[in-house]
Amino acid sequence: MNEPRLVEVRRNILKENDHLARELRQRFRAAGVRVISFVSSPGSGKTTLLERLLTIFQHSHRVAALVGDLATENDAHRLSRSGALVKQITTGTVCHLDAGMVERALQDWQWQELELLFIENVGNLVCPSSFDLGEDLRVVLTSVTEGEDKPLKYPTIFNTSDVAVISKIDLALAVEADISNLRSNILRVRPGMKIFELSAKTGTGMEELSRFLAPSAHAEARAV
Amino acid sequence: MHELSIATGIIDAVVAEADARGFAAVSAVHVRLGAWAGVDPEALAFSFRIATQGTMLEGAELVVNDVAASFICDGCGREHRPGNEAPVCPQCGAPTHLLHGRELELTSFEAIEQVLA
Repeated sequence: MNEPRLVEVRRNILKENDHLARELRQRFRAAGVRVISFVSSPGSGKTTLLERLLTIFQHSHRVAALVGDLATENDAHRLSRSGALVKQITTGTVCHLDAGMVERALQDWQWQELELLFIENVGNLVCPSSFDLGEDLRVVLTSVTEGEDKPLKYPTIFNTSDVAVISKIDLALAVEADISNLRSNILRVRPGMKIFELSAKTGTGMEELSRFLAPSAHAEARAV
Repeated sequence: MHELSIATGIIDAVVAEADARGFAAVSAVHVRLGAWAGVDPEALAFSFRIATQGTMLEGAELVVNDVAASFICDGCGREHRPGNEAPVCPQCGAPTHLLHGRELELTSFEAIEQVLA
């Protein structure tokens, strides 16, 4: 009977998704496509924000969007109203997008010709934080109606995003939300995080965000 | 559940090494898992048990060595281990960055050599 032998390996196990995401990131950069993803809980205003952003960028840039949901093509229809190229990814039961889904969705597009690609993740403040999509920038949204302590309760999604957006600021008064408290909670979880406050509905704050997201802007807020 | 794809990644890495060295079966696998790696140890153990069935790792024990998250201060250089609270330096209040805690490393495995007739 042989005694077991100990074999040292010391090998990093990267999740399969990380391999693919890194590859995708290289391909995006080589083609000069700026990829920006959006995460938040359901109902924070991602789709409304994206619809406004697509409408703004359509005039000056070659822009497209991918949107993930478990079911329906509703978001893709809404986003298409901007005139931009949009594709829906329906995940079935999967609660987050992953790099494989993004790659497959892009297969029948000439995506290399794009300047800007937005990816709207499935509404979820938990799972998307574990799945790199190969993006340049990840934007986390939290609306004034969700509760000022949400960043403290969901630190991982804020830690794995680059930039935060406080959305629906037009409703702050109605729900008695203290935006400065929400801001400081975000900064407690991720000191120095760049925060934008806006209302996609009224347009307040949209210019600052679009200037920041435009392909010519510097990506200073890139996460390490 | 992404723990299954991590378990598969571990198994593939072990099989590659074990095959190359002529081992017949693997009895234990040692991994280092960071507290902030985003991997649940129980889900990983469960996935490992399932994914090893029918392979040379069937029945092997997965030994997980937890690595606590520790942050290093960008200001004063002090290392500290946070609880669940925000990673700001307890000494000087400056932002910190993660030093340890995202590890997912296959450290070693125990295997039994082929018995040559």
